[in-house]
Amino acid sequence: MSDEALLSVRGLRTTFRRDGAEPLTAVDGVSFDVRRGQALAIVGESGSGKSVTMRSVMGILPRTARITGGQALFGGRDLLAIGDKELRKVRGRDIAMVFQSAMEAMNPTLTLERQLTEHLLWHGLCTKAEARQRAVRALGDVGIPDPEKRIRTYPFQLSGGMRQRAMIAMAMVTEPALLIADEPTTAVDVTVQRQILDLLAELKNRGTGVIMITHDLGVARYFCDDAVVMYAGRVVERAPMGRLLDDPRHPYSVGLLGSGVEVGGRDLPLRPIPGSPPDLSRRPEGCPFHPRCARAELPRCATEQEILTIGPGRDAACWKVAVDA
Amino acid sequence: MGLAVYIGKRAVRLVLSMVAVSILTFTLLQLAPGNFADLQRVNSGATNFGGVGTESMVGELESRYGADVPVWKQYLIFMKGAVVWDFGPSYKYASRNVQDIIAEAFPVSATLAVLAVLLALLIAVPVGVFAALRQNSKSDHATMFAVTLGHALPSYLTAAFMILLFSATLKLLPSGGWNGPEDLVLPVLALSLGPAAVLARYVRSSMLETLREEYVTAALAKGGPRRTVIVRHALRNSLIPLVTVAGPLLAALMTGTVFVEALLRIPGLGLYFANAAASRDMPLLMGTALFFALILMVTNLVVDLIYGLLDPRIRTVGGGADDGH
Amino acid sequence: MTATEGVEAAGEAAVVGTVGDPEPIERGTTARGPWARAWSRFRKHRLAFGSLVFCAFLIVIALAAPLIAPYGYEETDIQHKLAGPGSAGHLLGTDLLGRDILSRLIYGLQTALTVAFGAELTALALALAIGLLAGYLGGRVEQLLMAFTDVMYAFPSYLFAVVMVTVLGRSIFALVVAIGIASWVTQARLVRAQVMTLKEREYVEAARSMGAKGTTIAIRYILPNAIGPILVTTSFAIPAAIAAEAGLALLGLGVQPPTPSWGAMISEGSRYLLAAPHMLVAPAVLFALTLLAFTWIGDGLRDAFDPSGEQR
Repeated sequence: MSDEALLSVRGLRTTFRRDGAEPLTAVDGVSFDVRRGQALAIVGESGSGKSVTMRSVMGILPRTARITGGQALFGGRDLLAIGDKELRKVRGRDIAMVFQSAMEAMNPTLTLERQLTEHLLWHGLCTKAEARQRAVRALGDVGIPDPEKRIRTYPFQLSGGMRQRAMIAMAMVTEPALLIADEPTTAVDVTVQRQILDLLAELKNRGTGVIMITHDLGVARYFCDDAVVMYAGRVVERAPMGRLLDDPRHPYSVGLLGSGVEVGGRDLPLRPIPGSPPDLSRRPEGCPFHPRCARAELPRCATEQEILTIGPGRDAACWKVAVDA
Repeated sequence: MGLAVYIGKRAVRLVLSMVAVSILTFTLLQLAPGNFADLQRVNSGATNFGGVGTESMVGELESRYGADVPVWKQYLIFMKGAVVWDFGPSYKYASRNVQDIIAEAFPVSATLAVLAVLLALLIAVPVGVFAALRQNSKSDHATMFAVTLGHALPSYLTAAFMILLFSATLKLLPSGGWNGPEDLVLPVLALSLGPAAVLARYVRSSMLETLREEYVTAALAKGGPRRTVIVRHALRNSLIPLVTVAGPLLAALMTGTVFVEALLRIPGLGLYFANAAASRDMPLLMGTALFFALILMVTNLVVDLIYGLLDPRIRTVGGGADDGH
Repeated sequence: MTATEGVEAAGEAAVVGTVGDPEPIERGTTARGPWARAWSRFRKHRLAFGSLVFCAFLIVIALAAPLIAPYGYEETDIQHKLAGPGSAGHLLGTDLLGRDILSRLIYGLQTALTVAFGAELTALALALAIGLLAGYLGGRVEQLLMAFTDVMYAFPSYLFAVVMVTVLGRSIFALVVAIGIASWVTQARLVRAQVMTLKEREYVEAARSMGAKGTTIAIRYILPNAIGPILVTTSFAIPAAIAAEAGLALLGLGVQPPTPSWGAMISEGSRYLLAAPHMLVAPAVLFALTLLAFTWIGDGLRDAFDPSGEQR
């Protein structure tokens, strides 16, 4: 928890309203830091709340969602407390987001030029002419050939890989300090995956903070420095990437590593974690993972769960790990 | 490829349909009691049951539909003339040619139809968007209820209620006739409510669909002001398919003003058509029927073309996607 | 008629769209078939159920018209012509010839419902015949029939009805045929679509090799789903046919006077608007209520058979 944290999230809680039922808690007390020029991976299965966490910080949740607690410190301000008008000044300018599928995240009826320049103008960062130049430059920076011509095309006219890169260019054109990538490689094939990850790694090296949301540890390990593992809306383990890979502590992380496949490397044996992710509307008491955990010990695992520090820069939400360490 | 061939194909289909329609109509009308010869006999030789026929006109009628002209020849003569926009004289208005009657009366109907569709759009788009943005709220339900009302009542019934309200009670507007611009208000209003209901429902569902698209969230994530994003991304994309619904509505309306014209005594083509049916005025019936069918098909063709222009995905289908970058 | 092809097309699209997924065959549920479930859903829809009651009431009145109407529909009472409502033994007043408006409304209802149900039956019969043929036989027959329906589409529907009336005259029979023939096309397409879905499902069931028992279950569960949309279209077609009859009467092409028709009453009423507005109010209001009631029944049926509301 150093002072140079770019983004510092503490105790974030987000719920979703439901018709005729209690609100569903999708994010339940999540905390993590991201530093400048560092990449943080948020890893978890679908439904773990990783996407909702970052969308809460950005303030782009659907209407049925409510942020019921926590803070997100960025540039000395709590993004969750400043109201939408102020948050809009940050959104898309200082913090940018890229999505899983560029085909769906880009408007099919607008040219690249329109989509890459509109937010520059919304934020009043430059004139229309300058915006166009910046957009062309951004396209070139992500490795799209012939950007002057390409900028006048429509998203559907690009190949999948170029489209994904164009989406990254769209995010980077405002030169944000933090880039959030929500499953950027899930919808593309393996060769393109590599290209995108290389691109993100380069952005990180040039000083942009990166948060990478993914369910695939193989992808996360490619260039991320730190990792946060999420399960059922909670953080279960926090560690530098290398340490997590060598020595996962939380039983869920252990399982996750055992069931992963490396990117471009040898295939690890697939040993899926038994059971299935919990129904968030009927959360288990205490540690949400304990019904599937090989090391679960009742009654303690079924009461409150805390995050405990188990080493320098390492936390795990499992009392057994702390004990056994 | 593309445009020329497409129009060519449609034109061929159009011609074939017209021929089919003309044969169908002509055959049916031959079955109707009251061909030219009989009508002549009834009126003891004079063809003036609507206007006085000039010598040449009567002669024209004789040569076309006289007792000694076989049926198939009557058809051929008629169609031959039709192709060059000469339907010959009308039975009832023997002093005038059918095409002149059409030329005079159609603009009346067309004016009503065009104004009605424009008004319908003006009403439907805000209403549909309003309902979509407040999905499932009381306002939404109330709006959709009003929409059902507009849809269920035929335009002449709405017109009837309007003359009760505006003419009889409030004494604001004339209850019929075609003398000045004030005569436009009631018919256009009455004609617009049905289409407005259909369009509003369509706008609402189209908008709801579009709002769920990822590119709307992405635009918000770029820091777009909510209103701008809704208009520029969501509304724009949901309105493009509106053309495919509004177009046929316009076509149908252009040929469907007849009941309102009858109730409000407006000398449009629909009214002439209805009167022609009542008086067995075969040439006028044939000419109008063919003309209506033509208008219907041409309007649909134009609408399809406009839609192609609006949606860049269809427009640029020739300039395909690049692959392999 | 609501007189717009576009409306028809949109309506058709809306209803055809309810050819969605069938309800899954729920094992272990009680023996309530899909019919019972659809009915209970319909009942919960208060507007639809109320409308059903109202329409039943109307049908009874129409059937018992001679017994209920205080006067004959052509009885004139010149002494009291153009009398307002509540005067001289005429509950809703009299028209230009002194005829009792209430009685004419009741007989007009009889005309409207007779023509509408007759026309819809004709249309349905035609649609079923053609649609089934096209669906099952497929191939050339289907193409031919669909080309024919395309030609019909080029014709505004009321236009065709007008031509038919010209040919057949102004009897009730003529109106039934005219309106029926003008509206079978949309319904035929729907029937064909349903038949094709049914065919597909049969193959699926066969592929699952459920045996003879399975086929029976398939028919018991699939058929209600297939008939549902057809039932819904039919129930929407009734108000359209009522409007068509009234519209034709408005044009002077409806039933021959003195047989009353709401359309003719509206036409007459508009001519005496300033002198005797009640001549227009009564038929207009009753007409509107009847149309709305039947439309709401259609809405209720649609929701009953497709509660997921896929098209709305």
